[in-house]
Amino acid sequence: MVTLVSSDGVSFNVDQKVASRSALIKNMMEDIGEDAGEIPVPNVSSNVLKKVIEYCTYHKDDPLPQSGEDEGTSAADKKKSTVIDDWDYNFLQVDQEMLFEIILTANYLDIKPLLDVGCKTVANMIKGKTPEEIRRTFNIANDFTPEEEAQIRRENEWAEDR
Amino acid sequence: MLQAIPYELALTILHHLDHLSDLLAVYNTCQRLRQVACDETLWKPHLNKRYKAENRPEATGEYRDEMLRRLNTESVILNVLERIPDSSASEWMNLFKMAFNLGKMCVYPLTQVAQTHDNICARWTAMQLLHSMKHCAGITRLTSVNSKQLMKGSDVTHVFAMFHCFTDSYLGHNLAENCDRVDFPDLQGITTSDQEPTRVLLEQLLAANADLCGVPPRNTFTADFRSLSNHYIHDILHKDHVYGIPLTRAIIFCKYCSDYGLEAHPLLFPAEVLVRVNDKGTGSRFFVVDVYRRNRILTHSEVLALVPENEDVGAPTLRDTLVRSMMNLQASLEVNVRRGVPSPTECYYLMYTLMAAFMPQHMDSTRKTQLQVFLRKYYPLDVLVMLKDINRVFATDSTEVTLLEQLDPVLRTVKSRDSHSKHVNLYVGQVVHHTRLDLYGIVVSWFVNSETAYEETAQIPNREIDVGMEESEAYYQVVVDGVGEKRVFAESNLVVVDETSGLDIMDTFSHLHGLCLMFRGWNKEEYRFEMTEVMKRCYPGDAKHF
Repeated sequence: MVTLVSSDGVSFNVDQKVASRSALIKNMMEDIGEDAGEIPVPNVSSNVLKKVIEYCTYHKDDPLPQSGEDEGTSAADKKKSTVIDDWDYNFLQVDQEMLFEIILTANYLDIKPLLDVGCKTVANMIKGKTPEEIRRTFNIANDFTPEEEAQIRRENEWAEDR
Repeated sequence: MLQAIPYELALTILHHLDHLSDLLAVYNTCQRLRQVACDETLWKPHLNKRYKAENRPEATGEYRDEMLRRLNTESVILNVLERIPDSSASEWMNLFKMAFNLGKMCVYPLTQVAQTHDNICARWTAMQLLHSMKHCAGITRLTSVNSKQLMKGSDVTHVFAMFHCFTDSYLGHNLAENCDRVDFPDLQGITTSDQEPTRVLLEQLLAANADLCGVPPRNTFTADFRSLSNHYIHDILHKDHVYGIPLTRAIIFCKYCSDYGLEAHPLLFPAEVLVRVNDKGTGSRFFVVDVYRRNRILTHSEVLALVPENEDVGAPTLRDTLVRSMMNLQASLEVNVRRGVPSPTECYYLMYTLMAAFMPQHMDSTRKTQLQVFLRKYYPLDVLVMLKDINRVFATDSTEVTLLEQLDPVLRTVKSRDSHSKHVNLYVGQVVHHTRLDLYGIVVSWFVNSETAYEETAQIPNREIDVGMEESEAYYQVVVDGVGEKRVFAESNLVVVDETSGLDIMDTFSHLHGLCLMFRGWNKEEYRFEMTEVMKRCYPGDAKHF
């Protein structure tokens, strides 16, 4: 068992197998040894950490991604499949803030599959939308100058490709 | 939040976008996301995918600029095209080709035109061009096109007409499949069974159909795009443009009719189809449409001509159907024989017709002989092979004999060796060598005098007639190796092949698969082919040796 402590001081007792879904924590445990005791996870609040642990617990028996694999392949080469399995899909049915927190945490804790599925979820939110719809979805302000704006319209006059 | 996350994470997300339009949308959202979306690694795959088929030089770096530049040009061209209000099909075709050949447009804008242009003529011309370019991606996209979009703003006559332009392509098949899902407001009156179609609407339909008989023009666009030539259906359809696959066409036509709530009866299937129109005012009216000739509506006299003379104009019999099929077949085969090789479709069609034609009750002897002579002219061996299938269908020994006798006049009379045939020295099944022409072959038949030979050869024009030296000389019909067809040779030119010649019989003749109908196998002791039961009955004298 390991104990993870969130940024707001909440402790979570986690099975080692679960904790080692995170490459970061796995490496830490290997460095420090069995009786690691408490591992602080700064930057991650307790409600996000709880969610991430939920994910790790569900996926604790999945084969670990090969460590050598992600070095050689750049993001562009990866098969861009946006299929998300049911459990993951439901797991990520959260508000946007939480979704991005999860993505950031997955990135920080180095949990590749979670990062992947999070990015896919966001990508799916973008798909098929116009720029204006994207702005509305993600609450983004249009900060283009009128000149840039005019240029955009011409460039994007006909969105094709589907 | 999206605009606030680190660059790498945002980039990872954007890499999950498969469609160029999504990337463009993000690119145009805000400064921060544009900064991320500018990453060259995002644009390269899109650029390559989109222009792969165009054989353009691959862009080196600056993928984003290149892509935006091209998109911009295409958008200008599209703008121009969309402002052209109305043109004929050929004018559209020229416009599209011009745009395309200038290298300023790829297939995607063209599919855009095919889907959304206000002018229906432009839409289907674009589709045709795409189709003729054999661009896989373009066609795949087209076939998944939402049918409603395709039919936007057009009345039912146009839709009907458009479909028929494509019935001779598998694009048409696909469209036909989507036809079920199309919602025609104009057709609501006739799609439901309790309402009858109006006469006006129907006449419109058929008139539109007739108008299109000469349309559309065949494309001469020959750019080297990804070839679909390996596609079997495409191959056939492309080769047999004029004659197509008659059955398929007829079936599609009937399907259309039923989709539109019309009553269609295969009249002389697969050629003419009778379409019945119910009109409350004037009662039923009939149209006869020739599916085989681009759905032309036949005139009254043409309809009458379909029916044999001295017969009441009543329902056509199966016999008429067969006669018609035969004539169609003949026309289609003659075209292909001129071109060289008949297509597999036709071979099957031929088989189908043959099977029907040889059901004795359905065809008179004149027609049968006509067909036989014709078939033997072009398919000396194939016919035998097909007969085997026929025999399997009507498998009794007696039918087999009848069929073989009918097929081959040589077999019509039983040939026993008697005083008249004393000159005949060779036996059926023997392997012979033609000394002058240096051909090997198997004797399949013999004649007592040259008259028979001449009569026989007259029925097989373009074959070499080998004139013998004497009046009483025997002639033999020989299946020749390498040529695979029957020829008539005089005995004086033939030498029987025996063990000493060193000829590998099995190697020489094994590819002549039609032989299995005449011969059971190779008999090593006798050094000749052993005849089947039917053959033995036809040549009892020759059979005695076994």
